[in-house]
Amino acid sequence: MKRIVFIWLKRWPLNSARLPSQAAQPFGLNVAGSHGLRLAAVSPAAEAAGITVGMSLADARAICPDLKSQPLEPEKSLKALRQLARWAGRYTPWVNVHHIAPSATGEGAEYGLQLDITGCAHLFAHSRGEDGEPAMLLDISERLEASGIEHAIGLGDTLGAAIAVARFAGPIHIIPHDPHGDETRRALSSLPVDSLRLDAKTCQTLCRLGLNSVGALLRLPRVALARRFPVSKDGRDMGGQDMGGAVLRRLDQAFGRIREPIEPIMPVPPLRARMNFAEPVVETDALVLALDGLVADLCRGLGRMNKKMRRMSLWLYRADGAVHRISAGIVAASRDEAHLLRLLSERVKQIDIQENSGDFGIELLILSADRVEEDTASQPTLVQAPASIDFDKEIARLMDRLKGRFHASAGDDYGAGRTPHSLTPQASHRPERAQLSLPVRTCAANDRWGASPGADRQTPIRPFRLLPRPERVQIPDNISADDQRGDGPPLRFLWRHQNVVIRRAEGPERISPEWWPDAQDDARRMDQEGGPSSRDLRDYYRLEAENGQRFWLYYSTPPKDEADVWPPKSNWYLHGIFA
Amino acid sequence: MHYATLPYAELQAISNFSFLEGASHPAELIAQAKALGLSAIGIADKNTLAGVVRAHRAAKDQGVRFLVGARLDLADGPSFLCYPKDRAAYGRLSSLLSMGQRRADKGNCRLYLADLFHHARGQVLVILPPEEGATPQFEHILMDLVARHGADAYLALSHRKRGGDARRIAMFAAMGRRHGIKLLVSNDVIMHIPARKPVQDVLRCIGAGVKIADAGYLLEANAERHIKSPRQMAALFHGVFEGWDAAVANTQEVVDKCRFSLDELRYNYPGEPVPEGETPQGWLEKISRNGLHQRFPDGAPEKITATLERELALVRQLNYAHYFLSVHDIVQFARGRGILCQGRGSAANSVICYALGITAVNPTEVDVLFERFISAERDEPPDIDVDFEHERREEVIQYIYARYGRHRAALAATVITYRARSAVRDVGKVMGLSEDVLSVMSRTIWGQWSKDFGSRNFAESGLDMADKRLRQVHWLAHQIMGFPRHLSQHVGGFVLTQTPLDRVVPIGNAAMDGRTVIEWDKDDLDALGILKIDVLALGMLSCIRKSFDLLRLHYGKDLSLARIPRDDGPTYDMLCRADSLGVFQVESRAQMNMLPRLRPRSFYDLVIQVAIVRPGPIQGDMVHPYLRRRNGEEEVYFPAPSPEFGPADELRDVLGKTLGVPLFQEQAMRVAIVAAGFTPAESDRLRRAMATFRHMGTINSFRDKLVGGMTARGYDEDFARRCFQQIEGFGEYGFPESHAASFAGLVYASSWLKCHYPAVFACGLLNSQPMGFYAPAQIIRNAREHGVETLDVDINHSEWDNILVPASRPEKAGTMALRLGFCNVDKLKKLDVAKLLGARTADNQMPFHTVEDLRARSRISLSALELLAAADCFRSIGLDRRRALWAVRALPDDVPLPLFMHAEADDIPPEEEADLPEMAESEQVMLDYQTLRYSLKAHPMSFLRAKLKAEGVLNALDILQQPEGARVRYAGIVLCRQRPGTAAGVVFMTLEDEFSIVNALAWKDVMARFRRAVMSSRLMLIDGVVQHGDGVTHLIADEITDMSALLFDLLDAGKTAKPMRHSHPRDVRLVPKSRDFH
Repeated sequence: MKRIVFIWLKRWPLNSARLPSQAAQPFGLNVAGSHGLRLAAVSPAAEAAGITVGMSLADARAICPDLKSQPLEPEKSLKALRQLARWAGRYTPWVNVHHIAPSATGEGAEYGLQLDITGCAHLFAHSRGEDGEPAMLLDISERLEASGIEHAIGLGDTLGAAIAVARFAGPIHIIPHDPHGDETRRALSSLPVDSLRLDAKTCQTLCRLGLNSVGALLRLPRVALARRFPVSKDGRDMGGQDMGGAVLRRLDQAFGRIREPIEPIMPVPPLRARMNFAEPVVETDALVLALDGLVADLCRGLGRMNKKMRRMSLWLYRADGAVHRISAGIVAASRDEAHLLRLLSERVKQIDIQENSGDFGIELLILSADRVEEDTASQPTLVQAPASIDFDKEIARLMDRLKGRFHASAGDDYGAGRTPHSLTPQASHRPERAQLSLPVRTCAANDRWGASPGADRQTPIRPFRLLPRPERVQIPDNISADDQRGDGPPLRFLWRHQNVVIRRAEGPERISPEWWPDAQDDARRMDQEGGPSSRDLRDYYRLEAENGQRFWLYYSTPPKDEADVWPPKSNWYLHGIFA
Repeated sequence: MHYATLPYAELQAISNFSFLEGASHPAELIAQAKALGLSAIGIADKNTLAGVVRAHRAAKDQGVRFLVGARLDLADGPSFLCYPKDRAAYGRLSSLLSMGQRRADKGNCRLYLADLFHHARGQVLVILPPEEGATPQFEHILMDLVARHGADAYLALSHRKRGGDARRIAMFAAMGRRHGIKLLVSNDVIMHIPARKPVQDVLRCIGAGVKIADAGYLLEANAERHIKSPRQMAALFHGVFEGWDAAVANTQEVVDKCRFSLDELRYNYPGEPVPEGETPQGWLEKISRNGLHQRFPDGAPEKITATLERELALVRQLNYAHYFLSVHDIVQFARGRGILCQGRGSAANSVICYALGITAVNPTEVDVLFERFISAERDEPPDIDVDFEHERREEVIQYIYARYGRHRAALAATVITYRARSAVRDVGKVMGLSEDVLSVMSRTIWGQWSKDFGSRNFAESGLDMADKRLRQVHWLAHQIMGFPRHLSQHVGGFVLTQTPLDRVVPIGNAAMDGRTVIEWDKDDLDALGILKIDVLALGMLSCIRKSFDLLRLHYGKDLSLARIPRDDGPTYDMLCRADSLGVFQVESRAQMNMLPRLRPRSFYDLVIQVAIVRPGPIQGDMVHPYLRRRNGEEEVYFPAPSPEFGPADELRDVLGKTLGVPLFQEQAMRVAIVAAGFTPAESDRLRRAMATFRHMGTINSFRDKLVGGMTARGYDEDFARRCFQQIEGFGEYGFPESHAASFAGLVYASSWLKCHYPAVFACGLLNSQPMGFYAPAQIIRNAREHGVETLDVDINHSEWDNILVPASRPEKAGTMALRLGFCNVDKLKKLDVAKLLGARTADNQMPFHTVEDLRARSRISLSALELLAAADCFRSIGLDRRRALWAVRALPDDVPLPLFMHAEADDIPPEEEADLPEMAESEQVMLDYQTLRYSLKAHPMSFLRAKLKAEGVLNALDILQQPEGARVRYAGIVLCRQRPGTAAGVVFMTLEDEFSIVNALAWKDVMARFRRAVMSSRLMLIDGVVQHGDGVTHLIADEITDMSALLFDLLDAGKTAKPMRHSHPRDVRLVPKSRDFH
């Protein structure tokens, strides 16, 4: 016997993005369709104003001019849904996400969680023999409610039935267990055919045939249905993706005649141990104490199975619904309580619960044995001869190892990441904006050199060394102000107490300030760091001194709004040195 | 020589006709060249001559020497500037560009070095050093150039302040000297002033499809590529290389060599239409007189004959015979093919055109004033537009190409320029605004033709104008408004020549297959005095031709536009009742309102009817004075100047026909001449200014001049102002009398058909869809109201098109009924229908008797069968849509071969009868609407009537009976919503029930309160007040309720539970979506 819960999340993209779905503000998320923007999710206030999913944003604004809208980010909402699935791990390890992205018209999106809770509900029973299912569903509902997530929950013997009642009979609907399917039949008969996860076209056809309810389908001879709604064959695709027009198949799934197991999104650990706290725990020490019991529990279980553990995860369920995970690999498989406890408590101690959780404490701990081995596991080969050296891969591995040193271990939610940086080119005529310091991800970042648009144009000569900040040079007093600017570069200048006499000069290379906001913001930030303006017009010259040194000097014409505020003695700056 | 005195001409400049590259209009470059004292300027756009006419005009106005040329970017070599020295060389350049453009896709040009050398005679060729520096290949080409073209070859050097300029220039100068090529300097101009740099940056980004923040090295490093003064240029090159001063002076040498001006282009007409041994004039006279004789077999009235002779004399004087013959030739072709056509335009309503069959407007009915349109002193070409059936115009176009050849015939271009909305959109994208903000911004601009937009508009839509990015977008968008974006083809303006056209202007490919387009638009052609013939498409002509065909087939009547009986009383009676649904031009709501007020009784009344409901007369507030005078409520008088300035009745000539009120475009122009003292040329400039420079501020000076001129001569200032307002309105949507007259001809023809043969007219109209204001549902309904029997689409009776069949009902015996065709069935493909029809006719018209039979005989696809079932097309075999669908769904995927048909039939297990519920009639009707967009069974509202009646809701006929000011409730299906930009927030709505149509309107405050219901109701309940006026009843809404849910209930009649989902695709088309205009 199976018991399946389906949690339908009606406004998931809005709820998950913590967008003002509850507020009075009419709000919608849009997707770009072939005919402009379409709404893929709308807030209750927007719905009340008559706006529906699938409307074009333009039409919606015609109805409700103050409708606010943002683009829907499907990956984000899917990621958040996976996050929620992790949270649902507190009820059962068999959790999967139900996610259908909206079509180009904004319609057809579905979000939900599928939970196989077979044998799990008893944990919620207050007394032995009591059915824990209502309490469990209530618990789910209350917690979702508290997080402001709109939902409806269905529970039945099959996924199909659970989905149908969640969506069409909710908010919380339980179909009692019944191996003969009579309860399911009773619950589903009066529901519309739309509840059977059929595509819109099939539903339309059924309705046109007058077959509006599941009951009407059940009353028909199976042969008649099978003949008219075959699983799609060549040349007769009656719409829909995988199931096509297979009405019978959907019916059979709902009534358990076809098995439809829940594929857990994360591997179900062979063994789990859980600990509930009556009151959320905010003290790290208290957590460490609790670990004691958990580890013992798990090791007992391992012992019964005659297994050892290679990898384990500690799941920390925070009272506000967030879930954190700490993973630990174990070099030599073990079920040594003391060793495992030490490993875990070291990691847990590094967490400042209060800092990480604010006022919320941890209310539930689950420790899972993620990878186990037979007690007699053999030692793996220590050294493997490399078939060939793949530099990119090797460097990437090196980077991973370096990153590990810098304390950002994969799969772990805690730990401040501090990764190595490298210079990356940025396409800009302004020399100081022409590169960027970015965290290294892979060595492929190097490919960016020369990949920016227009970079294939002949780029003018740049100095070998660019000073971090242009330095003002002094023009000797015996040169008049006019000659300072003149038609070319100075004949001599003073820089870092060095008197430079120029032998040869080339230029100018005129570089205009960048006028658009992003560049201006950048420039303003540089200005705040002190030094000369970054929003000036510059004439650069390559200069060669008598002693053979080569300099990159520029004359700066400050922007109009700065010319008065900042009267410079000399507008000549040294910005770089050639080799 | 001191460099201040060196003359300098900029020869390397591109305008914004190098699309998304040049950042200045040609006129701006010209003006700047003048301001800086350049001796001349040459604008050489990239592989195009599209901008030269504008530059030429500006240069003439400003008195600047302008060199026509092009920059040639080659596929296999460096770029060249090419300046023709004389007319012949210009022709070679033009045909070179034509060749390159014909080779490539629309908008591109593919030229090779060999092509250039082949067309090089008479050109000054300036070779441009490549961006990447000197290469051996470049040096080779340079040597080749010197060898072949030494005397007129130059190498251009520019100093762009990119660091190594001096080195680079010296190197190329040395190379030039080495090979003996003359040097010249240029500044490689892309904008007229440096302040255009941001605009140029943005254009580049638009062109490359990148955001400004990511553009990087795509952008210019600095703003140096603007026009510089001779002094600046000399300073830039002073001493940079040996012979720099000669290189500056060489620009003047080129200017002196190139004496060609666009004024030299002479246009010549094609000679084809003239038979051997005839002169054009002689032939025109001959066929005109013959034609007139055919039009008036009993002899034309003397007045007409005299007019013809006068016109012919004028044509001879102006040498326009060719033009009329060319139009005649095209019309002859169309007539031979049975394609209906009609001419309009200034010259179309001449006796010549009537005699030649170009127009069907009888000159005895309209006062023809030919001289007014073609006047000897204004050397303006005649203008004839010919409308053809929209479905068959392509045949005419291909005929023209075939007859004159691609090198002598091409379509005129239309320069697509940035409008407010497109400018905001493109600039906003580059500046990194999100789709959403962009759509908010562009929505604040009403209509894409919007002239201007202020930051106020942005602020109103909740955008924060303190944000620098938005301010920049606003500024930049303003800057690029009016910039050409690309060339497109004119809707149908053909240019025909005797000598090859590609020697006059480059010809390129259009986006559409089989079309070729020149680079100039109609203003350019006008400026150079080149004639074009407009070959346009008109849906109503298709409808009328199809109606004529039906008349011939079913009634044995052979009619043509000219042979429709004139002055038909019942036809005018019908129009006076505003019973004009489907009729050409006068079917819109505004026109329908006007019909009972104007009460047309003669052809000329129709001319006025067509012209009066236009923005010009409405804006000029000329409508009411005219109506009052016509109804005798106001005395007809003519505004007069003070006696010392002119005769009191000087306007009587101009405005006599329209009772002293200017209604036509040319009347307004004449008023400017007669009353405000404009010269004809000035008045013409005024008209052009209105038409083409809408977004520029030039019209104010005209206003002062017109109003000032009229008041100075003693006219009433109020009248003067209204005249100007009217001219303003005409500028946008001008309607000259001749156009109105041609259109009136079609109004009359379509009205006559509708009045006497409603079935024929409805059938013709339905078969020409989409066209006009009304959906098939309204056309069908209107036909039924006129007593036409209508029959459903059926597998055994229908064709693809709608057809006429003998009526079946006894009371209709002897009339024709309208059998609706498969074309009405949603999504049904023509190919499937062809199979069905093929099977039906092949088997001796044997009807299909079952679904299986149909499938087996026609092998029609299952999906098509399902569509037919959904549209309820199986009634003739006794199946309603539900049973039909049940049967269709049971069919196997593949059709068995005939041999095995019976064998297989035994294998299919017999099926017990399924117990499907009967479909309610209301649901049948709703599904008709979903699949056919109309229902012949009933109107959805009829199912709700009892319920609505109980709630005190009146029907449409009740509303008409209500006294003025009565408070009523009304509910109807929304057919259409309109929010005219001129009517400050008022929404006009057309509602419909099973009885009739109700016109409702919501004032701004009601709209604000019930916005949602107004904008989203399919079924709307209105509490409001009845208003009658001029024979039209309006319902003024006080409260509006959305009752669409009642319609959903009709569809869901048999349903048990409602889905909790907020919407369902099935409900999207409940009833046809209303047509909204906002």
